[in-house]
Amino acid sequence: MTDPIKELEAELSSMQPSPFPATLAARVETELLTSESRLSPWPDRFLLSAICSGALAACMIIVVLVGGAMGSNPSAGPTEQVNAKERSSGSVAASLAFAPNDPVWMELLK
Amino acid sequence: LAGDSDGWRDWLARHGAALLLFARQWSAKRADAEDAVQCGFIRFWKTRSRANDELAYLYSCVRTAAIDQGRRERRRHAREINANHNDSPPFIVEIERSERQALIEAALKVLPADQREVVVMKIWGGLTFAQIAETLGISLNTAASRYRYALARLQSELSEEVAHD
Repeated sequence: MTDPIKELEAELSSMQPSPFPATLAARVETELLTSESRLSPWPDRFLLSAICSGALAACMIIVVLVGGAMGSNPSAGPTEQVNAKERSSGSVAASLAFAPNDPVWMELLK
Repeated sequence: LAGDSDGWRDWLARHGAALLLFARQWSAKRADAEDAVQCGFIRFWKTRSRANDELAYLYSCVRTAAIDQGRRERRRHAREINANHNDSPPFIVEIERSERQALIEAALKVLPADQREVVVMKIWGGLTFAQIAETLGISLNTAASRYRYALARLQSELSEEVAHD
């Protein structure tokens, strides 16, 4: 006695699916070729976009630095500003250094 | 690609017909199933290096593409949901067995989708239960039991048809 399930399996296996159409294989080939050609210039594009982004970023940094310096004191140049800052910070440090020896300051501390 | 051209041709020659049959489960029209196979196969071919089992991964890619395609089609043709209205037969029709074959095809359509896809992958795709389990993301036991239930149901449907005749 044969197993009906095995028979059914054999019967199903004997049914052949419709053949794969040649037109579909051609479509797959076309798409693979197209995507391949689309992908190939990517390294060049990446390099170009990296260079452009770098140049743009450099320009923006320069603009921000120059614009910021000019905006804070339009009459004074950048060198003068730096000197002024150094002078002021130097005098504060000096006054703090001598403060303990100043009699008025000592009186205040008492 | 030139070096790989024979490779993808071999894959399509070996599995194309079964993949098309597999994709038709979610497509109302053969053309839609073809689109799904094309889309799924392209995806498989470009990303196959990440696959544990290439055949299971191929079926998984086609399944995803067919389900997406089916969703799009259902949205587009809300009134044409019935996948039974195929525009060409999914199997080669042998004249002397056409009546029996038609009964089997009808019985296959009655199967729940999760059982039918297992039958298609096992019988016509030639996948092992382990590969089916990987494709569907289920356990090996579940894949095997779905197959057994499906065959039992088919057997029952066909017996009923014979009894009715």
